[in-house]
Amino acid sequence: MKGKLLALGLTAVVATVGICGAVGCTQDPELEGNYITTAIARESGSGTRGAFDELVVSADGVALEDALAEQDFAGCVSETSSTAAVITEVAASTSALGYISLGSVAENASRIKAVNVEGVEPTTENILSGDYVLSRPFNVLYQSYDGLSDVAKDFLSFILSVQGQTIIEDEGYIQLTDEKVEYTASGLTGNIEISGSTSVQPVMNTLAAAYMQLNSGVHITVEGGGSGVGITDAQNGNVDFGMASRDLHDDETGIVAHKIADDGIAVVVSASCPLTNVTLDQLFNLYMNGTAIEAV
Amino acid sequence: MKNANAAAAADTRRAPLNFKEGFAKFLFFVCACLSIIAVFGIVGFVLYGSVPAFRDIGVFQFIFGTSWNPNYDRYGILPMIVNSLIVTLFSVLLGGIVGIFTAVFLAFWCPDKIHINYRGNDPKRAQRIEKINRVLHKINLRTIFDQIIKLLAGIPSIVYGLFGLEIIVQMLSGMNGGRDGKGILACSLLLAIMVLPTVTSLVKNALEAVPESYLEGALALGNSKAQAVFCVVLPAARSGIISALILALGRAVGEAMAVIWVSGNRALFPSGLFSNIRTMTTNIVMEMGYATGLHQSALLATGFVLLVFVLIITLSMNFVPKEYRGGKGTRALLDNTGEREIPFRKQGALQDVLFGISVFFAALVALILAIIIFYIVINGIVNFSVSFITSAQAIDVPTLMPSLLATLELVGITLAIALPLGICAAIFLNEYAKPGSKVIKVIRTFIDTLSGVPSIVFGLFGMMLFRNTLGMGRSVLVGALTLVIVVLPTIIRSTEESLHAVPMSLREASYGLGASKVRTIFRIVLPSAIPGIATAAILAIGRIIGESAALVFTMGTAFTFYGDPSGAGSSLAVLLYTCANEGLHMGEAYMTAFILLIFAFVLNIIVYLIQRGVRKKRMN
Amino acid sequence: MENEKKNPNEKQKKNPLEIFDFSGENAIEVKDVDLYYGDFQALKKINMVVPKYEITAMIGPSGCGKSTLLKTLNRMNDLVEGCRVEGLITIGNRNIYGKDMDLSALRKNVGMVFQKPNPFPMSVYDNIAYGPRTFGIKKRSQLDEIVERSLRQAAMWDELKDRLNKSAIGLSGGQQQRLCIARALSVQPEILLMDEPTSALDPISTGKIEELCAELKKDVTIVMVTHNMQQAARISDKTGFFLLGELIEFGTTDDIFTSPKRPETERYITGRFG
Repeated sequence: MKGKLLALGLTAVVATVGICGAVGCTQDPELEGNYITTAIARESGSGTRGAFDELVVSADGVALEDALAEQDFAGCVSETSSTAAVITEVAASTSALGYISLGSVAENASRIKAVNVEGVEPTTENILSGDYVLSRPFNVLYQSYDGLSDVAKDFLSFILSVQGQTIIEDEGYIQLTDEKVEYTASGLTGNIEISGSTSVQPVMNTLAAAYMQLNSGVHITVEGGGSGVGITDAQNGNVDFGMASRDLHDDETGIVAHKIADDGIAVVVSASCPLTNVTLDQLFNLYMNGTAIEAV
Repeated sequence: MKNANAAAAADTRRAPLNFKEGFAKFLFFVCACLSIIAVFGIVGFVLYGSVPAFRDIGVFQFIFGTSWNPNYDRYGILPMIVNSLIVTLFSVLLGGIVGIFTAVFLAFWCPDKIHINYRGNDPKRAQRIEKINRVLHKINLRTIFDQIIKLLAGIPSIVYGLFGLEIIVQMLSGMNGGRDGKGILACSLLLAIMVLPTVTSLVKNALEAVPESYLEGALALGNSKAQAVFCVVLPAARSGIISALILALGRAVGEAMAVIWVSGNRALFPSGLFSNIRTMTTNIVMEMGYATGLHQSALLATGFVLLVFVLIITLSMNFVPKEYRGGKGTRALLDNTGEREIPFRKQGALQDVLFGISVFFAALVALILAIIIFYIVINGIVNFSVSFITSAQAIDVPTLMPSLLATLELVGITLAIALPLGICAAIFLNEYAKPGSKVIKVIRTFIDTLSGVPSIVFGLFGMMLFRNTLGMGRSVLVGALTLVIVVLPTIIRSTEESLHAVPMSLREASYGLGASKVRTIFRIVLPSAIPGIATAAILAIGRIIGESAALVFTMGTAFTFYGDPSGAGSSLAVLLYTCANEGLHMGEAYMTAFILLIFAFVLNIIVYLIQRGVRKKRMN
Repeated sequence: MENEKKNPNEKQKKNPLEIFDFSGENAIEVKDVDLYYGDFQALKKINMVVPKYEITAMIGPSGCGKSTLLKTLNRMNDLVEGCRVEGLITIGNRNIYGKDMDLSALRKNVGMVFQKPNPFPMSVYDNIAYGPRTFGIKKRSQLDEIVERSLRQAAMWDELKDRLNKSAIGLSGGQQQRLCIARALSVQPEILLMDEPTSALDPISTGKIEELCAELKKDVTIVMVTHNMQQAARISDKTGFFLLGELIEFGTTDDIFTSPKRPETERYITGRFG
């Protein structure tokens, strides 16, 4: 009796799951990869978001950030606090679109791809030439250069050196065009704390690792949190350096932004999505009005 | 401590040391009151921080405002309140119903052993089946189900978040015709799964606490087992069931880290099952890190509103009637004695259906639990990399060692502070206070309240107190200090239980030998309660290891940790959050989830062994 | 036999609860019953006949199997894992261990009162109305009638008629036990099994329950397990003495207490062992 009932229960569950699965697999035929209907944004403290909002401009010249002062995003937009969620969601659905740091695209190329913006491919050359419009600086932030500890100053000089800038280039970001000098290990000791933009964090990690290899007496701690965290922490003096993946706003006072690299913002879709190009106006209308983008 | 022979020492009749006794009592009392101080401290700090928001935005504007956009100074949290409430109710309704039925199945029908009956005549097959049966008999199905549910209650919420993001959202995306699967439904389902273990094990405890004689009495009246269970035992356990549901409400409304990945995080009013939402908790996690000024204050105010909701939910626990209070729908009868034939008929079809439902739900829960565990284990194995486990720390790649070290230090410091405090508080509650006195009631209420405070509010409090007020940076030490408050209720409660279980006769015997109260407590009572205290410590360790929301803002998220507790580092749960959040280290995230599962598993086994040991000892 | 079987079968179509035929002289017939808990044999070849409308007492030292036998009579032993019954127990002309035996019907007709009073955590009224309700009585007037009749049968009506709404848990131990008897009576059983019903009660409550039993045997057959030999002597008509799973002696109470045939019985009732 018990055995039979158990078997019955299990069968019922399997059947339910099966039905759910079957229902789950049915794609809305209208949406089969032909339209982008879902957009993913980052949280408002994100530097990537800040730069994106500033750079995406409608056909009549209104930037996203100005439009947002009047009304919120359309209902089809979801916000996430991470590059991960953007990638996961975009990868899972051929109808979703999002934006992430260009440096993060290559590692996930099996799942997502970057599309052209206004017909321009997101490459280092196009960003440097200014043809690809969605780009922003990577900054480190501090209260004043003189206030930095010796070891912090030394680390900053490493970032700006030939070695540091090569690392930045190797990681998929764009190195500074300024004159660079060779770095020689200083042999200093001490601790450096860094926090802020999750877009800058991966390359900062690599930089810190390389630096610590050269100066074994230095301990560097790098934390994420978003550009907003970097700005706040730098203002409060909680860290030696803040990281921001955008320029400072006028009201963010008391700190200095020191540019260490440039980065593109890639508009990404699922690797299997037929979409290859978007215009800024299409992006504006998708985020503000929920207008679907047709993938041709 | 003198190492004198206990019996000999107790025999020497000393005049009671009034000062020593009084001081000890005072010390225990202060420890017991810590939870009161903590609750007031939390409420006070969060309220203090929210004052600018309430003043500048206006309480009404803040609570009933419908738009949230800090960049343009729009601070209205009504959509988030509505979302939090809807998601909480949905999830507790769903998780509650499924959990209650599962608990009923577990308590009354789950077979201990599986047995294959073979009725055929083939002796070879019969022999083979006999062999299989012998193996099957070694497996205790009920214990396994039980332990799995306990294990799932112990899995960090961040792991559920990962599961929600990768499995639930994808599944729902399919149901939504390929559109975004995030939103109300995803949150509700995930939270329902998360409260399920809590509800199931609490309801099961409540059902098992119902005297067996009720069931027997009903059966003896001719009830089917289903009738007896659903008509007598279940109603008899209702106060326990209601408490379980209230606890689940508190957990659901306060959950932050799991929800953040599946909600869509838009501060909009819900417009459908798949509309993106933001809850009060996620609002705080998303923006607290970088908020300043009015924005920060508005987030603290969000935390305060959340806290008010949680306090209401927790305090409502005190109004659950403990037992039948009499009188509804019955009235005194007139004297009448008819001798007419009363037609009794066989009933119970409804209860049979309910029984069927509980079998179904239990099987469903078993399946879901299996999927979750399978998901973590498989992903952990597939992504296994030796370098993650063995390599020394590197700043750019997450590795296990620094996080493990940070976690161990976190556990060590937290326990070193919280255990003595908790034990002293429990001693006061169980050994000094008069049972049922007002003091005890007040302190208990505050302990319950403290245990209901959402992790994210602890995080806010830790950040406000240690970082903003005391000027400490993010560090393991700050994380540990915050977690002391988090684990205190757990430690107090389970220590108290084990002290309570120490037979009165032991104490009387000690007093009879002339030992003082303090001496009796430390020499007689505490040693007998050691298994219970160990359990308390392990439960606390589980909570510490699984905590993420309270640590992100207090301990930090760095991949590196250099061993100094005043430096930032990330515990394993936070490492998982960081890895998965940035998306560049999903493999490491899966492995961390797997390791967290193993931790939870090992801790559960230890608790199980301790409790089994205690039970065996009692039986002998 | 054929005829007898047919009649209840016809009735069964009307009401599956009324499958017993108590028109015969004996309420219960126990024939060659063995009972095992796993490998342990708790009852050995028990033979016993319980006549209708009498009180039958079962006495014997602890662990002798008397409670076990009592519980086999309404199949409460089914709850015990590994319990196996062999032999024939006939109640109301039906083999209660037969394949098609409806446990609800059996237990409705063979009520039980337990050692420890076990009223449900409900009001007095709901406790008594519980049984009838689970047998489909919904009408208020019928329930009222049953509650009152059961309480009167249990001689509690005057005590409790103003407290029907109060929780049954608040009653004294003796009252709780009599309430349980009333509850058992509410579904109009033919047989009432009592498992040491007074062992947890004070002498006054015990006296009341004994009086009650004497009164009740007009309507129901009572089988009672007791540790108290005076009680058996006072109220029972038949007595069985059990030892180590065997029914040593069974006969009228007078015979057992005044001229026992077996030396074990004599030794036990004179208090020389057990």
